[in-house]
Amino acid sequence: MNYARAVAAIIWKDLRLEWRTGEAVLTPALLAVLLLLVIVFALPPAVARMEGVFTASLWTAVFFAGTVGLGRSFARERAEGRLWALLLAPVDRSAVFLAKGLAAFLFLGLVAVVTMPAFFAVFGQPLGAPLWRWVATVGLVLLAYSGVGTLVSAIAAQLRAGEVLYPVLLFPLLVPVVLAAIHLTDGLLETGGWSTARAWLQLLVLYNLLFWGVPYLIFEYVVEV
Amino acid sequence: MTVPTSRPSNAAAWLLAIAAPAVVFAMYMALIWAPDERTLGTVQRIFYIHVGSAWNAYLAFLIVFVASIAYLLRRRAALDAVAASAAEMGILFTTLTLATGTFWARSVWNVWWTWDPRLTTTLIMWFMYIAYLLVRAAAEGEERRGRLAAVFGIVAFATVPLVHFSAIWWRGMHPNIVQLGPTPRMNMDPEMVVTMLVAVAALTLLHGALLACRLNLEQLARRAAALRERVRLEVDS
Repeated sequence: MNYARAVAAIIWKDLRLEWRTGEAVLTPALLAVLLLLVIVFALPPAVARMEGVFTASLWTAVFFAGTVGLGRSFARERAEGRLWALLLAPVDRSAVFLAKGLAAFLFLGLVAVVTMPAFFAVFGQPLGAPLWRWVATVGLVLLAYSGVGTLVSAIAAQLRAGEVLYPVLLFPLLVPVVLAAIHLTDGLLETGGWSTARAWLQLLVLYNLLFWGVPYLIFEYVVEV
Repeated sequence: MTVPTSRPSNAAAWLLAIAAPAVVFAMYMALIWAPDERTLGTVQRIFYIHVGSAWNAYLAFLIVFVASIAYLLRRRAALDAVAASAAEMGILFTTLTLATGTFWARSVWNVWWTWDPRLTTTLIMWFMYIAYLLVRAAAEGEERRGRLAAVFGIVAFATVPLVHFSAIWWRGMHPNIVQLGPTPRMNMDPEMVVTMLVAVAALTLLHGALLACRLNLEQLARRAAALRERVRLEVDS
């Protein structure tokens, strides 16, 4: 079985599983919208209209809601020795990481597509930049998020009470992505482009290289039987 | 299961015997011998312990990183023990760095905490290695614990520079005493430089001594676990 076909097969498996359970898209999307409500309830109306509050609310909700789906990525392979079955496939282990990561990216993307319009609507925030720039920015952020999220998910799935620990293990590593997401979004809202936040764009690309590159090299150690 | 027979080394005792007077001497230099800073006054003396702790925190996390890579390649329990012990040392020195930093900031900047890049990086680093210890605590089985902790130790260390850069671009105000670059220089009185170097050296010795003690403890704990296992097997049969 060649590499690309193995990757495609695992992604396809995750998509079918998702179609039947809805745990990686539906639940996080619902949680993100609920968090939006909580934030709006918690903020005094005058504060909600202040600059930067929209960005902070949006990313707080997306990052927190994302952990629910991402954490399941490998946790769902725990039951009935499914992870063993995956590892028995005669293909390089990094294919498993790549496939799980790309599937997680797809799911996060869907969560964003479903929930982000609600944030713009509730805050009465105009788009302020061409749509393709938003797609590129959010895509790059979510790609970084799914890379690190998948790796940590693979670690947490092998720990006692791993799902409880998952966000605590993940968020310290995620700090650069959170900061980059905030600054890039503010840049888009203020200037309609990336000119004010070019360094953040570079940082985000670097982060993506790190968290898709390092697991690619060491993933076989993460999921030994 | 074989019971490890190696005894705790004497290195810990020797290092402690050297480190203890060295730390006392460094404290004398920092608190009495070094001149008063012109504008900051006595409180500047925290700086010597602060810099010494910060250097040792980074050193400890570097040891975790190197030991983790070595563990994944060689799979020796001793390397895992080094990583585990060094991580605890790193958290100890990071805590000291943060604590001394906040005392200093309270009297000089008039706040306990600011979101300066170095403060932010140090705090995030502290959280990362708390997470590292959580991985160790929650992993079942020696082999799995060593393997997962090693992966996390490598990834955490690789992320620290990115955290630092992101914090720099976010905001900045930490004083830059040691300036590297084409002509490295220090904005300090020579006596202060000497005191700083002595404090760094003394705390590094202390670090080494504590690490050696911690490694002995780890060895004894593993030996005790193996003995307990043997007793259990004999009672069962």
